[in-house]
Amino acid sequence: MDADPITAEALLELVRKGSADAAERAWTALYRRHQKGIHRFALLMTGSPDIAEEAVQETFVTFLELMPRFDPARGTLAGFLSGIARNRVLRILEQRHPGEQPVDFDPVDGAGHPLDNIVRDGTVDQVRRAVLALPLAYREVVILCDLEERPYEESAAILGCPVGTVRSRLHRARKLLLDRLEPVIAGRGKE
Amino acid sequence: MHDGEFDESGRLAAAMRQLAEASAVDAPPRVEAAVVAAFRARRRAGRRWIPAAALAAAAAVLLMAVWLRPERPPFVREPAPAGFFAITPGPLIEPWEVAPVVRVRLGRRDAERLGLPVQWHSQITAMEVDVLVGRDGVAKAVRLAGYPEQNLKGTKQ
Repeated sequence: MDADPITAEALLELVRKGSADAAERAWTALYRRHQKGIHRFALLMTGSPDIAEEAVQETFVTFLELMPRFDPARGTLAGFLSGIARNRVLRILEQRHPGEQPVDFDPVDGAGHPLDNIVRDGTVDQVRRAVLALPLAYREVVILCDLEERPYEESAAILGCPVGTVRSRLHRARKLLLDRLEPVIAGRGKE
Repeated sequence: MHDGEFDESGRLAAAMRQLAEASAVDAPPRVEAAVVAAFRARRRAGRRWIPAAALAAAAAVLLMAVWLRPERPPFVREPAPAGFFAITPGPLIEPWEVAPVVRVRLGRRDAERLGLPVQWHSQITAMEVDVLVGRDGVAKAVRLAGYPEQNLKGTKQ
């Protein structure tokens, strides 16, 4: 049984036209429904809890302005929000690290990262670092398609590129990941 | 694709699934507080039919005035209680009220939109601010974080 049957469209209707109390509760429900996915996307894209936090906040504040542009016939709300989040993340990264590759690939120093508390398998941490080390164009397609398991069409809409580009980037990204992670993955296969 | 590649791809997919599960972490509660505060401010502004362009223009005028000050201090504040800078018209809080103060993190664009009189350096993209919340739940004023009080007792202006 679905514990939360209210559709995104119904919540948005309440946000737009409901009483002050109903609108705020609907807005909060929308935030709670989607914040985790956006936070994960930003965290995996940047490796920075601070940037991820900022990106989540900016995504929803921006959505307040862009809400009228959302058309459920053209895609899901999650996809629409992901598109905003992607733009926010890229903008923040460009501001802080002009010229690509803002994230250091440090295979040793992971102290203080929020994922460290829940990453009990060293392989997961290695994969996270390998994803972070990918060029941005490959990193985002891996996160959308392989980690968030979004359809190619939805990923293409979020990224604003053809589906074929998503496929080719994903193929290249997986190859890079396999090259980097071959020893780790081979080790797991022997367990 | 030969068997070895198939095995590697399968193992990579399994590792990616593990990473996806391990990365599903909630944003901190302060983000929700900030997002809800932004919603309240937006809704209140909408009810009063204040165009966003007018707010932006007011903020721009304020920033220009600050920027043209000869001393160019790190920031200046309007003469409001305990450093608060009003973002809604009317009294911030009544003398008998005790208003909660919520600390949130604001991106540069949002801070500028609120008209916070801050001189930004290029490397700074966000800042922590205290939001004074009125009895009606609406954000009344903001100030740069760093003041010790958690709640502000009403003072006549």
